[in-house]
Amino acid sequence: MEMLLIMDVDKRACCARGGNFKFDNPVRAPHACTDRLLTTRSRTCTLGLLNKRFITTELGAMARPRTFNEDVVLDRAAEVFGRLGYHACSIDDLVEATALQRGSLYKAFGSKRGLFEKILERAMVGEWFRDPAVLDLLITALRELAPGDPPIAALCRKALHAYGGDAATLIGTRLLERLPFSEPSKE
Amino acid sequence: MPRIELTDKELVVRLTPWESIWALRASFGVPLAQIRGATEDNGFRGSALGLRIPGTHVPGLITAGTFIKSGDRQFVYTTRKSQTVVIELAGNKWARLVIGVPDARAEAARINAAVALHS
Repeated sequence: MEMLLIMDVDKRACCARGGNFKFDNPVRAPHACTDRLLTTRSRTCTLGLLNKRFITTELGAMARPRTFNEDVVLDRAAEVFGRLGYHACSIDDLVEATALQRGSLYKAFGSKRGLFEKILERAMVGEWFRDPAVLDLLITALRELAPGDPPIAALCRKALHAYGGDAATLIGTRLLERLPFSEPSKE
Repeated sequence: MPRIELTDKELVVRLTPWESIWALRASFGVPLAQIRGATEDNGFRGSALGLRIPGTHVPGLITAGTFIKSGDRQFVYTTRKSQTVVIELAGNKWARLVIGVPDARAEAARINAAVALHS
């Protein structure tokens, strides 16, 4: 039976759970019968084994390595933002599209806004104005974020300034392209 | 419901005496420099919160206290009627704050604006 022991090193308290066994009340540490143990204050980590041998290792400020490809995650998130818009896109949508855990998403990008800013920065390079998906992203940024978000507004302004051409025509043309072709049926 | 106040340098989470009892935590402040961003996220509940040590959990009514998920210590205070805003932190003893507020989108925008202004 696999068990998980979470231990607060500073307070010398721990909680354990596994299989049908679970308790949340802090108890005195160390505790036997654990397969693995995670620290919450990350100074020392003890790996407790079933035979009650304990191995202690220094973790210090060691960060967990990322196990996902950031480019793939950003591409998938950009597709969701482009399709749904910024506000209509929930964290659930992003979690589903990127297959990341909620915590990992927050840890990597800070917030939904942070993720969107990173996607926008990454998209606005080279001949971005030739890519309809990037134009959709820019339109989303201009409509939903830029009016109340100076850093995003600055990013949009910088990109449009670098474009050099008629930005209004560029954006307007893309908006018209997105109109559906079929006429609504007349009863 | 906790109140989130913003000053020039700090975000303060104000808890009433009753809320402090449920959360086993008094009101506290977080420097704006330690805030990475805020997000409206009503799906942040259940298994996403992790293990409760210690706090209060009455299913469908209130979730309050300290929760640990994948080594991240999270402060949580959400109620049935509230929306949830998630505030991601860096360099703080909390990895993130998960707070119930009346309007999560507006609260997230307000916090992000304060952080952008501060940095």
